[in-house]
Order: sequence, then C-alpha cells, then structure tokens
Amino acid sequence: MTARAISEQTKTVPEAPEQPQLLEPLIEISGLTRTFTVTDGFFGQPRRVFAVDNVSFRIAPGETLGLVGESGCGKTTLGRAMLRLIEPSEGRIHLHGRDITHLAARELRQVRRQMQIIFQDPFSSLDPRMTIHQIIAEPLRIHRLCPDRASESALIHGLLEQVGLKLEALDRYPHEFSGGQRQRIGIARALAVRPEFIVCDEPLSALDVSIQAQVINLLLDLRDSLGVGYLFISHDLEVVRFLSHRVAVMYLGRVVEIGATRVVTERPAHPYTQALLSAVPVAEPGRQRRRLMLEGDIPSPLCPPIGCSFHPRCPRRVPGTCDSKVPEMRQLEADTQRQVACHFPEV
Amino acid sequence: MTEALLEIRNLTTSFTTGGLRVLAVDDVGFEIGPASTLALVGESGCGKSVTALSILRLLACPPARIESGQVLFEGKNLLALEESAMRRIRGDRIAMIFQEPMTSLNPVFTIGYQIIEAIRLHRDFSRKQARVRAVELLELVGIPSASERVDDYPHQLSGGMRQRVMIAMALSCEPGLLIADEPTTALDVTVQAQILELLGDLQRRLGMSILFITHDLGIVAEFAERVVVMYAGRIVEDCSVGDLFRAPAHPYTRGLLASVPARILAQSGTEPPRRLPTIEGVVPSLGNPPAGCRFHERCRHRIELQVDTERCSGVEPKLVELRGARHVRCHFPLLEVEA
Repeated sequence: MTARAISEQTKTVPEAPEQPQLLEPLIEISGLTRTFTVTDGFFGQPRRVFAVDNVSFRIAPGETLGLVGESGCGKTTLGRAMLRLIEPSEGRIHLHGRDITHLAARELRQVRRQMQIIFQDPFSSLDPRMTIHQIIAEPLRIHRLCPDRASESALIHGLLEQVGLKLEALDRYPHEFSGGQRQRIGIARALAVRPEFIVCDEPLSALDVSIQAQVINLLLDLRDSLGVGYLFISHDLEVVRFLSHRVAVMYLGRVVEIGATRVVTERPAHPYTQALLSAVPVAEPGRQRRRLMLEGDIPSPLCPPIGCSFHPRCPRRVPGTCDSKVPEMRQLEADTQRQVACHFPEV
Repeated sequence: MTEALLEIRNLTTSFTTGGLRVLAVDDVGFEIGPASTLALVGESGCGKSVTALSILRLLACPPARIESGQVLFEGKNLLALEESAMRRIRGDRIAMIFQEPMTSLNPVFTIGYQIIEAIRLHRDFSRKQARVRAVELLELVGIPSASERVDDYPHQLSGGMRQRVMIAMALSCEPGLLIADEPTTALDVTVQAQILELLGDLQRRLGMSILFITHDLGIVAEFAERVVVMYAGRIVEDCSVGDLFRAPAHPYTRGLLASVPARILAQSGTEPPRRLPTIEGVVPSLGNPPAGCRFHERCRHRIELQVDTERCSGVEPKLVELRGARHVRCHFPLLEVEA
C-alpha cells in the first residue's frame, strides 16, 4: 500500500474540540462508590471491598472518555454502575442534569433508552436462540419505538447497513458469524434505540488485530455521525489514545489521573500512569522507551494498602506521607484540566 | 546464520473432523539459530500454535496428523523419533510455556512438587537435591522468599507469579530451545513487561533460543530478531525484525502493521488521523481456502496496482527469496514493485 493510498483511506475529518467538557455534560458522576461485602468462611467477619471508590467525572455529548487500568481495578464495575446495571452504593449519577441514581424501575427503563452498553465478549452477549433480526428488534419493542412492523424492519435494515453487515444476516443466528461480525451485531443492538451515551466495555479485546481496526473505525464513524458519547473501557492504552478525547486511569478502584488524552499520555504526572505507558511494547524496532518497571503485583482490594494505594509499588514513594495519607484529587496546571491523585506528581 | 539449532522443513499438519480434512499448517519451514529469538506472528487460527505443538509432537492424533516434513533439532529429526526418545527431549532440551498460567499448573499439587517432578523426570536427582534446585529456579525467575513459596499451591499465586513458576519449570533442565506460546496474553501490561524482561535476561544468561508465538507486533519489535508471519496455515513472510517494520514485502504484513494504532500515532505527528487503515474482510476458513493466493480476496495491493489479478486468484504463489535473506509468498511483493 502506498503512502498516497493510506492518506486516501484515512480521510481526515475535522478534529473534535480538545475540551468539549465546556459544554453541558451528557453524563456526570460524583463520588460514585460501589462496595461489595465479602465474608471469609462461615464464621468470618464480613468485610467491605471498595470495587469503585469515590469516582467523579463528566462526559460531554460526542465526547469519548477512555478508562484504562489493569484487571481487577474496577473499570467494568464503574461502567456498569454508571448505567445502574450494578447499583452504586454511594454517590450520584446525573444524565442531562437529571439525577438518575434512585430512579424506580419503570422510570429507569425510560432513561435506559439514552444509555446503552457494548460488551466485551461477542460470543456470550448475544442470545444463541434468537435471529439477528430478533436480537436487534428486542430493544425497539421494549421501548415501543416503532408503530408497525414495516417501520421496524426499515429501521433494522438501516442499522445493519450502518454497522456494515449485509441484509442476509437478518435471519441467521449468532453462531453463524465471526467475532468481528458479532461485535457489529452487538453495536447495532446498542444503537437501535438511538442512545446518546454508550459504555464500551473492552469491545475489542476478543478480536484479532485486523478486525480490531475495522471496529475502531466503526465506533469513530458512529461518534462523528451520531454524536454519541462513549465511556471506552480498555486495557489497551494505544487504542484508548487513538479513540479518546480524555483519559482516566484507574488503580484499585480509584481514578488516579484524568485529563486530555494528549496531556495524560505525553506528560503523565502520576507514577502509575507513567509505568503503565512505558510498559506497552512499541511496534517500532530500536525505538524502545526507557521502561519504568514496577515491582510486584496489584495488591488485593480486600486489604488495600494504607495511604496511597499505589505506594508499595511506587518508585517515588516518600515514607511518612505516601504510606499514611490518601492523596486527594487535585488539578495540576491551570491551563489543562488534568487532575491527579498523588502527593508528589511529576510536572 | 550459523548452524541452526532447530530447522523445520515442509511441515504439514492436518486435522480431520467429520470427514473433512483441514490443513492447519501447510508446508511450513524456518530455522532458529543458537541463542536467538524468532517470533511467529499471525491472527487466531493461522496455524502458529499448531506449528509449535507439531514441533513437540503434543497434538492429539487423531484428529491431528503430521502429514509430512521434518523437524530437525540438533541434527535429529524429531518426527522420526520413538515416543520414548521424544519424551526425553520434551521438557529437557525443548521446553514450552503456554498462554494460560492458570490452567497449565495442577491445582492439587504444590508448585514445588510440580517442579521437582519435572526435574526428576530428566535428571538423576534425589528428592532433596531436586527441592534445592526448585528453590534455586524460583529465585532465578524472581519469586520473593522462594524457599517458602515452594510449598504454595497455584491458587495462592497471582497470574504473573504463576507464569514465573511455569518459566521456572520450563528452565529446570536448561533447555536449548524454549517455545513460548503467547506467554503474556493473559497478563496485565505492567506484569507483561516484567515477564518479557525476565525472559530476555534468562536468555542472555543461559544462552537458549526462544520461539515466541504472539499476535502483538509491539512484542515482536522489542523482543525478536527474526519474524515468520503466517496467514491461513501458510508462511507469507520470513525476514529480520528490522526489515519487517522498515519495509514489509507482503501486502498482508503491511496491512497488519498499518492497522496498529500506536504506529499511526507515532507517524502522524501532531495531527492524528481519524481513521485506521484496515484489512477488509475476514480470515478465510481453512476448510475451504480460496484458490490462488489465500490473501487475494482481501488484498488491496492487487486492486491498487492493477496487477495481473487472474494470477493472484488462480495460482498460489511460492515462497520466494528476496534480497537480504528474506522470503515472501506473493506474486507481486511490495519491495520489487517499488524498486
């Protein structure tokens, strides 16, 4: 493929504003917390585990917030708690300024039209006994969006086209499709109700590299044409860098750094963000970065370290401060909206 | 390259299910020199794991069958050995680590027991000696307080620690060749970095060769010296890592490289493009591979250059040698076209 061909394929669309959060937020969470109670054995003392601990941020219409972190850090729980698929223990969720934290089931169903989710595993998130037509029609029927069968079919045909599937797909079952195609079906189902906000929970990790690129492009196209806001959950930092306007980094249930993608990925201030970025192998021989190697593993959320939860692995920890006080989230520079939870951030 | 440690010639492995015979590995050949690293790259189902399992003859036969070829290791053809002779090589001269450290350890035995078992299978060690060796190995792979952890059960260890135990077990007899089948895919990036550093360090210290199976081009760039790219059971390109990233010769390889977000971001400078170049379509089914070049249906190069498309769809290209000890399976390799 020639350089010219690449530039032709990558038709550049005007870039989204760097800080769309100046607009009215689409969704806003404040102090969102989810705890689980764990009991050791029959006589054990019940203990509370903070899967998500006091997380606050907002997402503007058409904005993508990338959420990165390693397994077990609480990113999936956070994504589901935002949609109330898991009930939050504390904190507030506002959708278009309306508090939806305690909405009753019937009202919540109305609100769910505006927010949808795309799941990680395209093999288990589609009902194997439903045809593709039934799978996409189900949300339309639940929300009574189509007055008759004809308009329903027209809408479903449009959706299939939008996600790049052929009409023959309609009467087939999920097992007849490849992973990438199933992920497209999952996306079509999420789009059926014309949501404004979609949680993408690792939608690419079950897919091969060449298929990943196709799905990334689809998500980008939908954002540009429909103005959907995404919470894009992933452990793949490069994909997040490519897709997101802003990035939030999670460690043991807390957001440790959040800000514009460029600021966070090029000048990370939190040592964990720095380690995470430097750990990614670069597909460019000889261009190896200086690696900031972390010691040990992620501690168990059952007994999180006292003070900053990252301090046992932190190369910059200061005894007396980091192992006793929990760092508060604070804004670093006046110009960027980057916030960091670290006692000694690197500026 | 000096004399090869491992040389594979014309390896073909088939699977027969329900009367249908599928060639998962089709006429594959490559070599690995002493103390070097070769990466075997490709998407799922391209035959990279089956190639590795064929080397060690670990496939269940049936449904699998090694149809033809030679696997020459230190001059011996492994495919012609008796099973008992093969068993002496597995775990001793050639060891393997797998993707899932969670499922490749036995949950009902301590890790020490499992390492000791591996040592005593190949070496004339007493239990006591083997236990001392097991602790040494655990220290070698960076497990803290190894003399206590040796009595732990697998469930007491994290994923990264379990992979270290697997590596310790694989290294117990100081193999000449380590086959690592996606050893970091199930791990987090910071743990992946630790394991890769450990493998590189051990390789330098012990002078072993590594066959590294992966789909992550970042790992290839940082870890390997040579690369073999597979597509639908076939080798499509075989070259040095430098050549692969500088100037891929096969359209598939170029497409794969182009769709890596990190490379786009690195090359585009300040203004990132808003779309990724993709390879359209899906990997063909091995049961019914397309006629001619197996990649031709997805090949954009063929359309752009308006090359002889009938040749691509009718005649399967041979693996041809290009300048600089590289091989490519394409009628119109990219280097020649541009030159």
